[in-house]
Amino acid sequence: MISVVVEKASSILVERDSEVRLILASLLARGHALLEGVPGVAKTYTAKTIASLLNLTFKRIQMTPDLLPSDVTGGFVFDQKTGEFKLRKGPIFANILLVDEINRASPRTQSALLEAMQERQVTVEGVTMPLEEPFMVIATQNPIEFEGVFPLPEAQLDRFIARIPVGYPSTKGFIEILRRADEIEEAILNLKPIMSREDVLEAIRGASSVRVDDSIYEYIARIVEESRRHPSVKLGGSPRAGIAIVRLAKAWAYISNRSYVIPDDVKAVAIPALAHRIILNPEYEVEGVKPEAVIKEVLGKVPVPRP
Amino acid sequence: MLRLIALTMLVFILPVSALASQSSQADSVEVLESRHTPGFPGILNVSSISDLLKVASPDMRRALERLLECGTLECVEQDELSARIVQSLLYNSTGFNVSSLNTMNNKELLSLINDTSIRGLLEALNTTGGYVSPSDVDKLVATLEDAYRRGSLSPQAYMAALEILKRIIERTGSPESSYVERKQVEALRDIIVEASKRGLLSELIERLSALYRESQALSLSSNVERGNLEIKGPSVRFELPSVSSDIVLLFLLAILASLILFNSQRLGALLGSMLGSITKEGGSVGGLGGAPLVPRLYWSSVKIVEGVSGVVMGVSTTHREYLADVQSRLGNLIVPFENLTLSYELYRYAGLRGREVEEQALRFYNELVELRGRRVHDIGRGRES
Repeated sequence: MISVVVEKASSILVERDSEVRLILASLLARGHALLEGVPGVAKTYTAKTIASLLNLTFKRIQMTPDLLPSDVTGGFVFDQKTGEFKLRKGPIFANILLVDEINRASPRTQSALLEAMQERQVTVEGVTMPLEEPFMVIATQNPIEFEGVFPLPEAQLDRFIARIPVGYPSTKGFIEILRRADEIEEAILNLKPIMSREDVLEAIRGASSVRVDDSIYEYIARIVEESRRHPSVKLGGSPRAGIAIVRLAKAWAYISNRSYVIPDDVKAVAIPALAHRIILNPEYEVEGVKPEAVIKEVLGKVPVPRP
Repeated sequence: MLRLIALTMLVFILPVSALASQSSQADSVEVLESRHTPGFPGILNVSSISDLLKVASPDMRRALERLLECGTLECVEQDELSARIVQSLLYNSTGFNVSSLNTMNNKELLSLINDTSIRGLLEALNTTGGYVSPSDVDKLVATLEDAYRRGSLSPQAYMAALEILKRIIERTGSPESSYVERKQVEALRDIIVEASKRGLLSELIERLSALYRESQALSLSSNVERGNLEIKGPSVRFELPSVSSDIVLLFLLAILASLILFNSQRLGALLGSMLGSITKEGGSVGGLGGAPLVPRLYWSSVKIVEGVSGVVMGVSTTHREYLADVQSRLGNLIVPFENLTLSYELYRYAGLRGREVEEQALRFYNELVELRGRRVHDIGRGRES
């Protein structure tokens, strides 16, 4: 059924097939996705379309520098009728939370959100509440702004299972968008859910039971280790990065209607899972070397399992 | 440039080793007769290549083992004889002088570039000496490659342009120079392929045959007892199909080139085991003797497909990527190969086992071999007529 969601979302969004698959893979891997791209490339539309196709509670927060942690998590408010403090749940109590422009929030608010993402629970004034499964944060950020933004530190970026670059469409795709702009907007508004919450939970279970051959684990370990050895890398992939690749690869295989992982799945998810966890040596960074290029080189070097 | 020289050496390390070993292996020598009509391009079946390899052993095997042990290009480069032969062969057949690129200055290199716009571009870059970003390198290489593919740059001009670009990048200390170097090697491979189309490699085999005939004559005249000359082919099940000698040699060259370029231990091991199997009578294909049947069938089919398509499976290429790479080049062979790829995937990664899977894989493999045999036969008939 998940492949139907991919198909439907891809039929509405122009040239966003890979992004849709990666977001869904992140969901099935019980992770969170960070969509990165310049304004106006349909980051929010992509997230909204997926949320609409899944019958899950969906909330959205537009991050601003003055947003407080309690604006995200919620807090206790005094009820004058009953004379008691009652919990007013914040937008984080949703299955899918779209956090627009995450790098506009202050580090304090970012921390509150990221803590909830990691622990999958929220503590408000000493009361800890688990978040309902599935829980996924789809955050967006614009990489080119420097004024009034608080870039996510590497340790917090590590909380995202995948960073998904959202680029410009091709000329052909762009023309299609121009032609169908109103139609696309309307289609997103009128979307009907294809998968229920139970279906999604079942899919998550299905993805986690996808078979991974020992040689695939070895292949992933080699990729991560090789990322550490690369001359331009100051800090390479961690064991968590390796775990992220395994989970995403399993989910990717599941979305591709397969019950086993193949090296192609690993290659498909390696860049989104690894690139944001790598810190380059400054001398390479100033020369314009990108982590994506490093991972690509690593993938071109590490032998796939044989025979 | 070091890599280029090393590659060119590697390209011919097999025959050179064979030359060196001609007088010392009378017991294992078989006369390589010319097996095609004189004046027509040679279509030698793979047993001829296998014979060639057998003839070359053990010196050639020692040379390759030495090569595998090498680990550095400097170590490989020590074989001066190989370098000389390679240069003269390439130069005589294509007019292409690899070593000269290394010794020429930028001005001389620029004079080799026949396309004025490319020359102007590189001249400007060379003069300004500014930083070239990786994305610019990508664009420049793409421009050069495009000009080369369109034919506005000759092979030598293309190599010269890449050499200049590499020098400019190296001056700025960018890691992209290894990328340009890879492109140079690819270009060199192209040139070798072109040369092979013109029969250069067949010509090389001819020369070797002549040398072996002489060697045999010598050994007979000195009353040295010769061993059994019978060359047993591999069993039917694992038999490599007949392919043109050039393609097989190119396949070997590509493996060697990849070995040096990417310093891959994995490929090294593959090559090592392949050598082992080649010398083993009736041995399994590709040195995968210890591997289960389905993977063995798949990897031997990859060898067939590499021969047919000319696309060598890289060490980091997945089975699906390789299938996509050769899809348009295989004609009717694609069906059994696609099925065999899927069988391999199911066996290897889905853990599917059992007689049925093996039988199915064997059926696809036999189908592939049969179609390949027909194809070679058709090509042979076409050439004769």
